[in-house]
Amino acid sequence: MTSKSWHISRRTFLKGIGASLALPYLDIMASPASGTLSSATPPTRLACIFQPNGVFPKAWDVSGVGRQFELSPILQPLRALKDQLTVISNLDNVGKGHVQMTGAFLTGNTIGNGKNAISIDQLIAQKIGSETAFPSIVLGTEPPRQGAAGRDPISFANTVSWTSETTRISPEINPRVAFDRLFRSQSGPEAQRKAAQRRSVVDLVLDDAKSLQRKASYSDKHKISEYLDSIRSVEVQIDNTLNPPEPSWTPLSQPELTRPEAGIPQDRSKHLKLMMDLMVLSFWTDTTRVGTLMTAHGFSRQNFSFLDGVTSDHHGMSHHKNQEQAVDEYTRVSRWYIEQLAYILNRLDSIDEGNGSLLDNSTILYGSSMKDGNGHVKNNLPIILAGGGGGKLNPGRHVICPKNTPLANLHLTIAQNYGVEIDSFNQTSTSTISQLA
Amino acid sequence: MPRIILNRLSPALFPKRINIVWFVFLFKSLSVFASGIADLNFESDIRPLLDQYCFRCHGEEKQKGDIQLSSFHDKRGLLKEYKLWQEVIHQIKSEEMPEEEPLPTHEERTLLVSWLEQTLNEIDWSKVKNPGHITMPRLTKEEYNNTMRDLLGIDIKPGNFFSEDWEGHSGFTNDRDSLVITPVLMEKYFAAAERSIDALLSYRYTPVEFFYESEDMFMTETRETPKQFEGDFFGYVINRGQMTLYESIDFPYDGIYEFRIRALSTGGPTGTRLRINDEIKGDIEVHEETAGIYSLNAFVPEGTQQVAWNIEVPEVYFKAPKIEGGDNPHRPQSIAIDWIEVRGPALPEAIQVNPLVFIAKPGKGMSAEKAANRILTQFLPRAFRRPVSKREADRYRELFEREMQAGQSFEDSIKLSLTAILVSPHFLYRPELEPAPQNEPYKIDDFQLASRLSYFLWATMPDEELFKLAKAKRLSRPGVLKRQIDRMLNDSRAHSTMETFLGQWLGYDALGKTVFPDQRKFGEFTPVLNRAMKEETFLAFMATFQEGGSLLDLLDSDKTYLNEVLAKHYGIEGVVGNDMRLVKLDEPYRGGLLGMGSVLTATSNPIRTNPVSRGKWVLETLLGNRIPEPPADAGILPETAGQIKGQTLREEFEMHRRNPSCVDCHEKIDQIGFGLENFDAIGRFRTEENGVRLDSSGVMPDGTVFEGPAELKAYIIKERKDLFIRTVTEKLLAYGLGRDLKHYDEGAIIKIIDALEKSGYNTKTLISEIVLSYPFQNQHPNPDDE
Repeated sequence: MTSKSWHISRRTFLKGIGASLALPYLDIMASPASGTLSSATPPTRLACIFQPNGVFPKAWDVSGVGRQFELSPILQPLRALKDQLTVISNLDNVGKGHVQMTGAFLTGNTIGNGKNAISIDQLIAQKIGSETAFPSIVLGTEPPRQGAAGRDPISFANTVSWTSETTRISPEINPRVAFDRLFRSQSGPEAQRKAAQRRSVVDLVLDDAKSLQRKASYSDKHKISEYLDSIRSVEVQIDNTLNPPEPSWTPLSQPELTRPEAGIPQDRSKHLKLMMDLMVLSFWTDTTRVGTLMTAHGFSRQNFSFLDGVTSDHHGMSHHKNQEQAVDEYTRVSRWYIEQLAYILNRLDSIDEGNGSLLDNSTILYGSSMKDGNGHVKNNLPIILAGGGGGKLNPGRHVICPKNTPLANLHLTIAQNYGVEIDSFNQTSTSTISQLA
Repeated sequence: MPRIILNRLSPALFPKRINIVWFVFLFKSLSVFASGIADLNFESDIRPLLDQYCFRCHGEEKQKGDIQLSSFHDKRGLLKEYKLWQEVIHQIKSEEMPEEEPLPTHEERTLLVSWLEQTLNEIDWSKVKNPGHITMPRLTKEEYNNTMRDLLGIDIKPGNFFSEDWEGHSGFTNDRDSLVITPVLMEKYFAAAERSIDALLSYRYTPVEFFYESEDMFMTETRETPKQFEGDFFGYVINRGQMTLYESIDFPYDGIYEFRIRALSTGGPTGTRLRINDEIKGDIEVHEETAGIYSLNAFVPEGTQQVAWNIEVPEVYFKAPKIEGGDNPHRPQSIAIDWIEVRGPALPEAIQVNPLVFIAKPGKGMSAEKAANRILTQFLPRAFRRPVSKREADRYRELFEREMQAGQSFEDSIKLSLTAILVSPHFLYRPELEPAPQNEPYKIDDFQLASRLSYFLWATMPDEELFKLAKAKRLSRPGVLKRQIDRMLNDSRAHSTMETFLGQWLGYDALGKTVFPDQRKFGEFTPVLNRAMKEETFLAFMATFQEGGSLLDLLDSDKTYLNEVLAKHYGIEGVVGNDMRLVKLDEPYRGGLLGMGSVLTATSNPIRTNPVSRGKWVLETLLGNRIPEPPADAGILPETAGQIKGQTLREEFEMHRRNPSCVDCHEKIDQIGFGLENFDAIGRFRTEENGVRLDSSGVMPDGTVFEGPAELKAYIIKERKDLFIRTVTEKLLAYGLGRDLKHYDEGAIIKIIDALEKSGYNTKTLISEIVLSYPFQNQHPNPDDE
């Protein structure tokens, strides 16, 4: 076998295995990259962050409009970042109940017969993903849940990322496994050797699959297609490893990558911060440009009694019936989630990319797929965009859309911002949101 | 042939009123126009009536309870939604619906009911020959791990880092429709295959060795101190489940490592369990009170890993003699550990002596080509679970030859062929190709049957005996199949399947994983208790199935499986030790599923019982009813309910749900739920709550009054037995097939239930009838073809 010349990716630099843990409070000891400064413009990243179970409307809604707006009690942790926020009102979801509404968060589509539609993160990953080692990363914190809600499996609410109407991406919840996949499998002589070997295996099993597909009954052909699509995606990865494409963006600084501890942290806040750190790292190093994070399952019954003044689980308290105690707990949890959002926004904002911060070069979509969890309300969703969107957004404002604007209008606007040439998203959008520019 | 009435909607299950006059009328009038009924046309005669009375709630605009009837246009459509229309019949017949004016006349009701019944119920199901289509099965995570174990001969669970499979419409993770392959999973298949073959080839690496004195390791219980025993034995004593001896170790390579410990028992059989990164790697049993050296092999991936030892050894349960009540002499005692040593990577001796994969090596008189040929000739048919043609095998051999010619070593070259086999669609799926394209049902061949059987009962590949019978084309004979089922049920490989089925059907799988009782209120709910609860349910089922007991024993029994922790939890005296054993019960409320901690805890909220969820569990999970979702704004009782002094949760609850839109459904659900209020949120028996005597009585819709869980149980067995039997049958059939059941499966279900009734609900009859059933033995190339 001919030995191809290999080079350690300039983008990644691995510290020794088993060194002390720098994550989750990621040490931003950025060192200037060797070599010359890239003249290219930094790419624009997209992060979609889902929060389950809605919010108490009165505690979420902001007052004022345009640049003259006041943050609400829940949004207080974002005070220092107010100039980076676009709070959007009057976006409506579709579907009913946790499963369908979670499913619609990034698709704008109602789940039916086990089918959804492509989600906005994956649509954009298809558009811009080929320039990085990974088209997207999908992270989460809770393992899949079982059972059914109405006619839809609850496990559908485990993710908001769909690559097609039937294929969901299961979020990775183990920090170390996610880290290894992003940063350890891509470079080095061992990875090169493995890639070359895998290449010949891929050719063989591709033939297997093709011949099987010819013989399979009509209804099994799509199963084999899944296999074919997946193996081809492995093939692309292999080719990228064997012949690394010239990076279109070289970061101005490099993080030190320290492998997270094995296992899943018991401490919920630590776990979530670790996953957010991974997203920051992958954006920073340009390992991927699209990231999705399920802060919890769409039907999350996470016990929040670790917070002061909270005794119950998130879903339970979301059906608060306007009782003071339950509303208070519900709002404390919502605020906790916003504190986590503030964490990742601050991290992104602290990374300089020349023309601005990494946050300036990102669109962060944060929100829940329902408003008041008490009635599974689908109107006027809690939605925030953060970041400058690479110049496409004009943050520091409260944007009030006309009443009953479909959530898909936001998806459509984002799609167009990232250069996807469509004029309707999943047939549910009615127009773009022109006020966002 | 008995006809089981399908009561799928809760109101129909417990009709509010039975109109005697109407039944008499119906009976008489039927005979008058029965002959004319068949001539009626759905679109012109029946649909207008539905339009008038049903569509206003179940039509285009509104779909109450998620049900829409206006989308049906012909008889064929009705038959495809057989169960839904059974519900409709019962709703109309019992006058439950429509709920509001205008109401149909008696004549209209009669006409609707008799036409629908004639259309739906007079089908001769034995003539409906559609076995359905099982989507080309992809191995589940569990099946993958098990299959790799039996294929390679080493149990390293290489698929543990795959994402969890999601359950499909059948409610089980083995639902083949929902098992997809994604790019991420494909990458993981490559990594798992390479690691596993690496583990088999780990003799190539220079082994490393780590040694730790027990007293130098991290002990979770900081107040404990190491103790001196005879001679030079000095170390920690582990005497309770939460005590853990812990060390973080750097492993240089993927591979199988040997873990050796020097240990002694402080009295009687005991043992210790090894966990690496919280994943159970195995158990060491220690019976001697003098120091001995014990060892265990485990696969460890390269990198820094957390290695932990504690005292839980549930595998002892299977070996311990069954003792009814009383003390058990085989009670696990505390274990003392002197030191721990880790060596590896190295292959276990068994696989070196009797390898399953590397059966030949190049050497004297054996060329590399010949050795590779022998390895692949044995490996391929086992991996693909069917005979493999020479042409097919040649392609994998060529891969080996190309690598050799490129100057790679024998090991690296053969590794590549083996990896290709393990990521081939022929391994990751179980294709059941039709013999010739015909779009008609066909009988699956003996090898495919062997796989269906072994993945149903063992969740793994067939063993040599099944392969031999398949090769001789004898497996499909009913007598042979029955003997094989017997053998397979008594094999330990049946355990993991049973655990998976039960956990997913009964819904306690998540207990202790993602669902926990509140630790401040219920500190008694420890991982040890949690495990004992799950073991109780598992052992009760496993024993019933192995012994061919009655399915009804699962609902009520005067015996159950307990260990000391669980017995104390239940308030039962005289059970000593960690091992689970059969215990005779004195109190009638405890035996059977409705008295099991696993179920009672899984259906509770973190800090209190949830009678609605318990009632719903009984009606839906055990009896197969479908209960509509409550309206979104219905509200739920706050988590903090049930804390009012001088008031029971029931009293608070009844105040809460006076809302007329709630009371109807809740009346049916809650009577059952409150009947179980004698069990608290973690399944302990109680007679009082907040200082007030609990009222656990209830009235069933037929007027039967019951008092407490024992009488509730008796009522269900007497009056709802058929529903329970049908539900178990449907669940296990769906699990066995790996797909959601369809209307055309009705014939198979009726046949199985018929055999069950004749056998006194024998559990073995259930298994063998499923395996012998038409859908299990046949396949239709395309689903939903009539």
